[in-house]
Amino acid sequence: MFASLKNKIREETGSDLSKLTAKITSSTVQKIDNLRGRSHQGSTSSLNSIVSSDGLREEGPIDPEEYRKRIVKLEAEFARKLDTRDNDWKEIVKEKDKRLQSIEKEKDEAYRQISNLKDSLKNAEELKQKILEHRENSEQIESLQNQELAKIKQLVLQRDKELLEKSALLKESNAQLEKLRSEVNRLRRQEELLSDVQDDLEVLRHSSSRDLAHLATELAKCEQERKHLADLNSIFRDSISSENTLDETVASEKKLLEQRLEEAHLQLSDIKTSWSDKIASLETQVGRLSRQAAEEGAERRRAVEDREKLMEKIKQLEAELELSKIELSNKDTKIKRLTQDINEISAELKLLQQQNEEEIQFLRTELDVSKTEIKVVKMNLENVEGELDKTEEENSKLKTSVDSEHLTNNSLRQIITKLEMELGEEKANSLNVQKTLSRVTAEKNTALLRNAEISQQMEMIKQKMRRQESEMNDLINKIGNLEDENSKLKESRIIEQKLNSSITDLEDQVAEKNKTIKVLQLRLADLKKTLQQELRTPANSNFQNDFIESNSAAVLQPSQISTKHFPSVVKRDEDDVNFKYLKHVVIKFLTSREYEAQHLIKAISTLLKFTPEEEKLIQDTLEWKKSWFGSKPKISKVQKTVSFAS
Amino acid sequence: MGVLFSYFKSLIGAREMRILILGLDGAGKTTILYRLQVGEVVTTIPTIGFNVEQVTYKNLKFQVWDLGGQTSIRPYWRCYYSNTDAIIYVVDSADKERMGISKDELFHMLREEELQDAILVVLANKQDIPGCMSLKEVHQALGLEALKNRTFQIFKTSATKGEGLDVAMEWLANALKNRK
Repeated sequence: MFASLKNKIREETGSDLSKLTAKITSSTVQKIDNLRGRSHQGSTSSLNSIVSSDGLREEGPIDPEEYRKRIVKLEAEFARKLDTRDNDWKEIVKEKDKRLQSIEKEKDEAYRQISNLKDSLKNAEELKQKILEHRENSEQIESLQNQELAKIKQLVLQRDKELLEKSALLKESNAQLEKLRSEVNRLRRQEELLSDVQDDLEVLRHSSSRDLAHLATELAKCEQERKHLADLNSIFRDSISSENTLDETVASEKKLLEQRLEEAHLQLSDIKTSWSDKIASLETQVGRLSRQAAEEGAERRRAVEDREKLMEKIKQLEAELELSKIELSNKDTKIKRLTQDINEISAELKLLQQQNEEEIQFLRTELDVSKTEIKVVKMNLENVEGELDKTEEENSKLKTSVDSEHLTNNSLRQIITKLEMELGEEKANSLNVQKTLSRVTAEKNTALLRNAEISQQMEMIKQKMRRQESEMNDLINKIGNLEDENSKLKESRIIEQKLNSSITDLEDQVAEKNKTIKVLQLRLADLKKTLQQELRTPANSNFQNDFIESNSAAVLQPSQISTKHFPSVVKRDEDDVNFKYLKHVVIKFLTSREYEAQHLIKAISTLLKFTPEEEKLIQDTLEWKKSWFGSKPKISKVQKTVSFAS
Repeated sequence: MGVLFSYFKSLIGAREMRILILGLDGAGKTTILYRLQVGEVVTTIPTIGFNVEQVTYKNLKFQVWDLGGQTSIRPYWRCYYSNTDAIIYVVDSADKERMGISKDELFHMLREEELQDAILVVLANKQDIPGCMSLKEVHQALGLEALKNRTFQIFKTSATKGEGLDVAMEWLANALKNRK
């Protein structure tokens, strides 16, 4: 069935596809045909036009070409003739003109030369004047230089004189200096002598003082002795007085002693006198010496003073010397400078003289040159004037010839005018021919214009063609895309159809299964009824037995369970466990919350083998308990009977 | 209204996570439950029936159902499967003989339609008993390599000593958060 459906769908879709493609292709073909038709029309028209233009072309070109050729030939011939004649005449005229021009040019050149020579003459005269001025100037300068030189010489002479005076002064001062030096030397010697004398003096003083001291000591001794003697004398006088007896001897002795004493005194006085004399002499000597010393000191002082004076003088003289030397050197330098100046001035003078001489020579040479030039120019002038005369003569000759040539020229021109007249006629002819030609060319142009228009149209059409082709390509691409989409759509449709078919199949299967389920349910209900009927009779112990056996087994073999004499003792232990379990679950169910109870419904219903209706009833009652409002679910009749029955 | 309601809901916290603790009898399911709830080891008797407790862990509220694991009452597990977020399957690591039965029960349970989205946590319990199977051995014995398309993790625990439970619960909490 599914396969057939698929096939159908395929067939349908295939036909659709073919139809679609056919449609598309037909439409595109039509479009293309339309396009082609248009292009064909355009092309044919253009061809026709081209053909027509070609016909015109073939008829036209025979006559105007001949006309043209003839006209061209004629024109060329006339042109040649005219040109040759014109050229000849032009050449002759040109030559004459050239001659005239050349003569005039020579004239102008001669005038120019004359003017140039005059200018040069003027220049030469100016130069002469300048040379004279220069000479005057140079003489003046020379005189001035001479005067300056004389002044400078005078100055130099004055300086020389001064120099001589100064040198004489210098020599004098030098001589004085030398004298003073010699004196100084002499005085030095005297000084030495003085010092020696002074030394002697001092030595003498010392010796005299020593002698004096010695003499004094001797005197003291003598006086002591005299005193001693006097003492002795007195003693003796006492003894004499005491010893009168012995007086005579003693008196003699005394007299002797007195004599001796007197003699000693005399001696002493002699010595004293001698000593005093000596001292006096010595003192006189000392005084003399001291006087000599004083004199010498005075002399020395004087000499020293003299020396100092001399020294001062020397110093002054030296200072003067130095001053005079400095002055001398200054003057020397001045002289040198002056001499240098003189030299320089003389060198400048010489240079100036040389320059002047050079300038004078140069000017003289220039004068000579200009004179010679003037001579040459005068010669040239004369020559040129001669030439001018000649050329003027030639000119007059030429003018006459030109006049004659002009006459001939006029005659030739007349000929030319005639020829031109002929040419004009010919030109008129040619114009006619040209008119015809232009007409023909205009016709040709119109034809060409048409041709161009046609070609433009052609191009326009070609462009349109291209655009249409591009559009075509786009359309073809679109068609391709559409075809792809179409194919995808078809595939999806196929899949849809497959799915639809599978759904229908499944629905069919479900329906069948529902049917079988209903049948089975009905059978189940029947079986349950029979079971319950059977259960009324046997003992309660069998209840658990039935429960232990699987549900399916119960369904399959109800006859086994229904046996009344089934041994109940065999599974006592298991019964106990199951009973305990049931008890526990029921207790839990009763004590638990609604949420837990809902989960326990299934357990209880399996344990107590509730029918789905009963299970639903319990669930509904539970929900009713949970909810705050709503009516209590009612038990269906069948269920009631069942429940009451159990 | 709806916005307000959702705001309140967010304040109170998300709805309670429904978690089942399953496993053979004597694996330590009830001990684990009370260890999670009270944090203490309680003396237990074999559970004929079930225990249900509220456990709060990291701002997540769990309604933990500890179902009895005896052979006769194992078939009733399936009555509790609906709306289950996670299963904690407890294995006695020292009970090597019944490991095969445990494996069969596990895979029978996992085949159920109602548990296809449930997260599985396997606890290799009683790791404190000497001579018990290691984590790797338990993993191999339960054939957990065959599990595909299911978020699951195996942990070694000792309920009496309280070891490994925190790690397992943390992982479970994260997994439940990530699943939302």
